[in-house]
Amino acid sequence: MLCERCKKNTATVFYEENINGQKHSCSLCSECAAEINSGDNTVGIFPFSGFGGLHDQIFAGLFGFNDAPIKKSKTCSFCSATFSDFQKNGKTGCPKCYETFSDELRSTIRSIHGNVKHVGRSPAKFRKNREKEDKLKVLRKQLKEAVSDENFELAASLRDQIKAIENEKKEGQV
Amino acid sequence: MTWYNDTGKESSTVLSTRIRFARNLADYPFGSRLSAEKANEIIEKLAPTFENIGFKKIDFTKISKLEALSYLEKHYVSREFTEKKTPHALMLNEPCGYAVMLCEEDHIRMQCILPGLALDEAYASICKLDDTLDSSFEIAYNEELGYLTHCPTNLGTGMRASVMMFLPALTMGGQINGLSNQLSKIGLTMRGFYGEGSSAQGAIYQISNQITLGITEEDSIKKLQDIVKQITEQETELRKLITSEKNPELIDRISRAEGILRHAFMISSSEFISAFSDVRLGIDLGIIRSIDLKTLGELFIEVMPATLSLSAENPPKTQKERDILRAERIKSRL
Repeated sequence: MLCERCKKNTATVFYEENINGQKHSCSLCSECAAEINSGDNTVGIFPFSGFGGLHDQIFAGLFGFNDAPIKKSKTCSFCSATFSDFQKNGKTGCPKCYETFSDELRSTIRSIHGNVKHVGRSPAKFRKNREKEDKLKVLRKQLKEAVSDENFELAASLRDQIKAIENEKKEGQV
Repeated sequence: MTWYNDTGKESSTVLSTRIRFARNLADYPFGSRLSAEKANEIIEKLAPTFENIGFKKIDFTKISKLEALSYLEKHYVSREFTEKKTPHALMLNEPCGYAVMLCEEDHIRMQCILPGLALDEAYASICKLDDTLDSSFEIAYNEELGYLTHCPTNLGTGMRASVMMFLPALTMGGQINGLSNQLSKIGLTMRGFYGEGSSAQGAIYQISNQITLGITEEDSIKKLQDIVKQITEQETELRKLITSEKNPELIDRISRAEGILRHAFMISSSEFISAFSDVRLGIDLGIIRSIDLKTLGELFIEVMPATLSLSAENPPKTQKERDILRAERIKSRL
């Protein structure tokens, strides 16, 4: 792959970013990367927002890697926290950090709580959806039992109820 | 009436019940990344909602250190809250048992504290307050992780339900460590009087839930309630046992403690807590009949260092003066 900047040399430095599902990547040769890191060119090459302030982090430790491709950690688009900030103090920077670092945080959350799925209270706007989900769970269980008991009349009625709730949910999402 | 001026259910073993919800506004960074400007913005945004339902606002950046410490002694705020430099405020509605810290590590830490064992009542109260908040603000929440909090240890329900227990017999019997280990295995935790990191003075312990994700508030409360009842039974049994043996040493200790409270000229706060604990046990065992639990309970907060100093016409300047004042106050109330 050619360097996106000089279009001559082979790209050996790769930067990937995934913030809230928006993926961005950039491939450079080591010379262009070094030049950017020295501050000679800090604009125009990276298509994504918020990159300017991250140069130091992205290229920290660049030298010494030579030709080895590197991947750098993500940054929360809302509060600029990095995962290493979390590792330092055990606290996230803002509510959006939980989306940005969802993969990295999963094992920590599991080790604290043993679970990663919330049950319990929720804000009113989420409550209706939750109630439907809970009802679906019960109905699906009943359906399974009805089928294994060969009570097909009940199974058909349960299936209709499940379909109706699923349709309601779909309409709600639209 | 406040939690410390009254007694409730199971008063021989339970001093108070507290339920706290941690909540955050969706569009602001959490505590450690919150600028002073944004913290002020949050306080200005939230305070009127509470003021409209009978809360008073206490701006912690404008009160004295002594006042802040007095709120800590009353369990309305955390120690971290009294030490914060950035804007933070307490919203207080004492008759309802509500105390809400704004801009602690989470934007909103609301709690309901009631006397005695009152988990269901405190939960119902705090839910009411939570609903009010929910109808006015966008609260940080996601369906998988529940209420989003600064520290992942509070994710999910964001709830800490805690019961302050008085366990002198189990303490004397050397059973607290074993109990604490058992509790930690079932997702509960046992701490000293002032919560995290504090030592247990006067045989007073806080027992609370540790897990907040993957368990409903109701289940968590029920688990705590069941355990508190079991511990109460064990403590009661053990109290019967220590008195049935006609324990002269214990009677002497309790009587001496009463003597200290009634006649000492100077009493330090740690000496008070120790005597308080013995006298409280003495009242329950029927050894002391001339002091009632309610009066003793009121003293408990009243003679804490900051609260005591604040209540004096001429606040004591030295610890010695404060210890003299404490002894005078206790004598006058008993």
